[in-house]
Amino acid sequence: MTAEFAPGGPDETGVHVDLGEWAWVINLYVGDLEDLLGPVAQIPSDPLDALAATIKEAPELPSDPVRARLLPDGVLDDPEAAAEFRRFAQTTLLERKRADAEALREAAASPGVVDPARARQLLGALNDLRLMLGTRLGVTEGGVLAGGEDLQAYQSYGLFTHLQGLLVDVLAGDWGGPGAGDSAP
Amino acid sequence: MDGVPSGDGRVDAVSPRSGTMGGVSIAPTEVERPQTEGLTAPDVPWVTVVWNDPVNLMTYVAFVFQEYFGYNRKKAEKLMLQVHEEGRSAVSNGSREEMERDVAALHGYGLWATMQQDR
Repeated sequence: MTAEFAPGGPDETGVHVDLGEWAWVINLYVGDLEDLLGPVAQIPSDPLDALAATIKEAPELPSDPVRARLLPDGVLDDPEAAAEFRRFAQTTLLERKRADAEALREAAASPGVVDPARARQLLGALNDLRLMLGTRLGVTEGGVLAGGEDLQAYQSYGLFTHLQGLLVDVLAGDWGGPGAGDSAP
Repeated sequence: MDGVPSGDGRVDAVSPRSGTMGGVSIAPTEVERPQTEGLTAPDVPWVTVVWNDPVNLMTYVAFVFQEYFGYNRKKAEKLMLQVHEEGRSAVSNGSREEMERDVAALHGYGLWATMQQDR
């Protein structure tokens, strides 16, 4: 059995990706994540309308806990500063998360070597999937409490944890070889 | 808020991402400081705080500190453990604008980060 992620490409600077086995579950939850992030905001073509839209829609901390975790406040105890930060950062953040999610979907569809920048997108998307499922499952320091409620989400959370851990090890140069999995020397 | 000069003449603001090797500051008084800060804001430094989160992997958090801030592995792991054990860690400091960039970048990585003035 081959590892899902392993050093690859010229000089092993890239990452060999083989997620075929998990493509269905990745697609399922990437779709979920994309729904949560919502569609790309349409910026009005007229500059004045665009400006008005920015001013009017002072974004707030989302009421949905998963969205709130993916798009957290950047300043605590100061709603005005938090809104200002959100206005400055949120569009870019959403764009990054959407692009990362799409990169993971594409990587799952076609095994092969990706460059380091692409590998970091996959890492980001796996983290977002874990944040989404972890928040839904009520993960705490002590572990997952609500496993019985949604077995598929629970198992998928475990899978994404495994995949992200493996990819971090590859990118950090700690990869322990095929089958080494969790315990690098 | 913005634009209130503090005038307390603090000299211990270390420029962000310069890497104070292993947390040891040397020669605190005669550090050469760029003159650009007058353009932005008052000199009460800001800090970026990363909060503990039960989901984020410890190896991932340390990896992000190395990757984004350019910290060496030892420093990155020390900060990560501080987040994990103490619930939070100040991971960078600098002007308000610099901290906005750091917090935004850390949110991009999925870390739970906030900025605050370091009083």
